[in-house]
Amino acid sequence: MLNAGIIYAACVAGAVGVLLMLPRRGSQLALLGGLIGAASLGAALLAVLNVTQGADPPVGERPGVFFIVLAFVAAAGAARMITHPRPVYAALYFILVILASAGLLVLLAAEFMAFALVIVYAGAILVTYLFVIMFAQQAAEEGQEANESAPYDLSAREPVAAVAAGFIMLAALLGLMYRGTGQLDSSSVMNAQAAARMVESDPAFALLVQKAERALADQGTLEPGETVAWIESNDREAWLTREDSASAESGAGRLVTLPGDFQIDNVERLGLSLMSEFPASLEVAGVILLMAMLGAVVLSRKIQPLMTPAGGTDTGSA
Amino acid sequence: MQPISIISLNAYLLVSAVLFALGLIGFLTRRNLIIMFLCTELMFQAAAIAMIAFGAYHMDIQGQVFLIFVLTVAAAEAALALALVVALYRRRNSLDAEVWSEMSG
Repeated sequence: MLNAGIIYAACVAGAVGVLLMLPRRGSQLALLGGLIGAASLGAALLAVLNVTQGADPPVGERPGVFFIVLAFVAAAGAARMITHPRPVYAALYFILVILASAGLLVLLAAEFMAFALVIVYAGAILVTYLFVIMFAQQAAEEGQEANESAPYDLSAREPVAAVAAGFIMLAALLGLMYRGTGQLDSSSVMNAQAAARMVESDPAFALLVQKAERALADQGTLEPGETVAWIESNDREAWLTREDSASAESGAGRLVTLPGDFQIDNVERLGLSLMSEFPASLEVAGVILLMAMLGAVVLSRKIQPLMTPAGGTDTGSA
Repeated sequence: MQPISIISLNAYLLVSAVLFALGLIGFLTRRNLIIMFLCTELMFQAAAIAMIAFGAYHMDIQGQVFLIFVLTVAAAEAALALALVVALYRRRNSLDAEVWSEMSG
């Protein structure tokens, strides 16, 4: 198990790298730590990309150059975010991590979630964080120079123990991951067949079938009495069957190519699945957001002393 | 939709695990309350990548649907955590987590 050895060694080297990057008074080794961390991530990626190299995997099986670049940007942004002594910069580096991981989601054909992540995280949540950071800094900066970090940002708390804990967890995760994913069926063809079955059992599938039938009827391919039995998982072909009993028993039918402009896009799939399978969860999510809003209002209000009619002060509610 | 290979799945899971570990280390080492909560958001992000990668491997859209709910919880968590941070900041006039160390008991 050479590959597992490389990964564990990369975990150790990465731990040393992150340890050197953590903020400490008088430490000049951050750049060296960053280089060690980047090298160990590269070694781990190389080990992963070769991990199941029995026969030569077909072209296109491995993630491309965009994945490598985005992975390095995400990891570097995350490392800089947890080591930067100034909170505003840490938040900005987190935005970099979000953008990189949104790029990874685009590579995984999850476009809607990629853009939702950028809008919700980088847009809404991070702006809230920046507001709170600046609110706190403005008050703190009265006593010190404008360009100086607060003392508690300049030194890490228990760096050795924390880095050891984090990287032991990482090594355990990666070790278990290889044992686990080695047991998955490795053939993409089998995956595609399983996925086709999954699509058929999907309640949203009926809506997709209707859409395919409309598209085929517009094209003139669909003859009277024929219905779409299933759509191939590549979204390019559909299997048509006749409704009458003779052909239903024999399983006869024909495979037709769907029109070129027919496609089931990511948002459509996502919306159909969300609305047809998880409507109750959607309601619960709304309640969670409402409760969070109320909680935030209650927690962050100022306690104002109230004037009582007698002229004294009352402390209001706790 | 084409499923990704196991090699790709492993690579995405590696990135996800690295981000999660970095978030954990950040949460443990930083003393600034706001940065500590920012690190939990980093861990959410790592979980999101893992979920989408598994969804792409199994060609199952539910990985992405679940991420919508994760995003909801993350937004609610951010709102409440920041409200708590502001409340704590008003009490001690510092964002240092160590000033609350007597709460450890």
